[in-house]
Amino acid sequence: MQAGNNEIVFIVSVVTFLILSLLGFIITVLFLYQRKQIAYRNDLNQIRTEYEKNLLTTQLEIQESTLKNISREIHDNIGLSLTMAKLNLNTIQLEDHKNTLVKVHSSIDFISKAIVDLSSISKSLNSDIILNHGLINALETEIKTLNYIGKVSIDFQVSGSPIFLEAQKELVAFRVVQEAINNCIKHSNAKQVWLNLDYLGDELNLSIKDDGEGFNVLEKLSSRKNARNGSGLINIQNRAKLILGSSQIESSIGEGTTIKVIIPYGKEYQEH
Amino acid sequence: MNIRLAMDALFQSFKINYYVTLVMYTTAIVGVIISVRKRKKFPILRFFPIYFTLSLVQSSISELYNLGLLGFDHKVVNASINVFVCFEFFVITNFFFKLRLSRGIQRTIIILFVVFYTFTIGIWTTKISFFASPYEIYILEALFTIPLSLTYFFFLFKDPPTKELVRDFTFWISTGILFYFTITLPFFLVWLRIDEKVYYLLYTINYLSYAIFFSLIIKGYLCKPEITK
Repeated sequence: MQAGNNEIVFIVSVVTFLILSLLGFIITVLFLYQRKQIAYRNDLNQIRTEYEKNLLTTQLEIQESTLKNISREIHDNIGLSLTMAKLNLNTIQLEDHKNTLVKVHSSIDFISKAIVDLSSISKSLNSDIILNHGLINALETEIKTLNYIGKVSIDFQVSGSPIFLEAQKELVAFRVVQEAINNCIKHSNAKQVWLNLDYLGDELNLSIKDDGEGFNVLEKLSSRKNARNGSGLINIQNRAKLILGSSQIESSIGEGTTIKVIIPYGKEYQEH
Repeated sequence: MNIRLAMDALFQSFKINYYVTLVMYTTAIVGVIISVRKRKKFPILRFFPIYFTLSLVQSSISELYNLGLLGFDHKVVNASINVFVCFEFFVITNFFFKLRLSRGIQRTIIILFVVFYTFTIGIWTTKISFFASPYEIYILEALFTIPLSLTYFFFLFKDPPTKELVRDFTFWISTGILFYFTITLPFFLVWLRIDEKVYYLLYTINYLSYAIFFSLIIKGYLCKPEITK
């Protein structure tokens, strides 16, 4: 009977030990996992804050760059057209009917050009066009205007199955193209630009190629002036990163420039 | 006099084991019911109803033999344990394989699977018969499944902690597997060196561990029926 009691004590001890060790194990795992979850959530919040900060910086950069463009456009085109119109009108001599008519017609042309330029600036600034009509339509409108101005000829192609990306993404992609074309017109003396949008199902491959003078990419990206002032190329890279994309710039002197931007939008991106 | 002593010993043994056996049977029966009812919600656990049923059948054969009823030969008990251990290993490896922890782990599981069954068939056909006690096979099973369940916990802490662990059935089942084999492995390692008088104590601890293991699986069945990875 004594042996039986000892065995019962032994089994009860084993049972207690097993249950306590199991509980200890479960509580330890849950505690450690919860601690990891808290650290993970903190990291996520930090990344989110950093992302929002970058987004704000880029939006400010875009705004600043846009204001500079408006200033330049107003000064170079609209201002000049209106000055010419004013000059014409100021120099009218009413007695000289023939000359007056020519000057009035010329002034009308200058004012019409100023109106077209203003309309063009307004359209390219209005992000509602992108949000309402999508990236492709906004680009078509922009290219139509640029082709009309005639400084450069742009060939625009879309392939794959186009979809509407997130509004923020469409806007940033549009600004990337604007920046790239602006660079072509301002710096490369290009006559022809090829713009391709390829929707691959999980990513958008955006390519802007020109036949301009080209440049040394490393030199351009690493120059102190660019770093300080924020060159267009750096802006393109930063904007691509902002929408979790990547960019690639290929150029060499005399052989034009190709800018490729990959913007993810597939299922994997959504999970990310 | 000797017969009387033997009867007393059997009665004493039965009394000590009685509650543990009852708890084990209860958890196994609840396991059968819940695993059958929730089989569609947990496709990853599709073999668990068979596993619970087989555990009930095997335990019943052992108990009937211990009570001396139906005239079972001990070989039948050993054969039933052999079949049960083999199926148990299949169910556990299948569970970890379906968790898709990583491609490397899946490949390792396939290798462990082949090694285990080659060893088992080898041991049945050469040294030890299918009708002998399968403790070597059990030891190999434990040696393979303990690292597998530890791997689960390694990935649990390696991957981003997006799971709600208390409501994750994989956590409870993996904990059960780790718990059961860690507790019982030492006893089976010293199986051949122990006195016959304490065999029933090992059975009791084994049943008790099974009862806790089954309870953890049942807890798993009460969790959310999706895999978070």
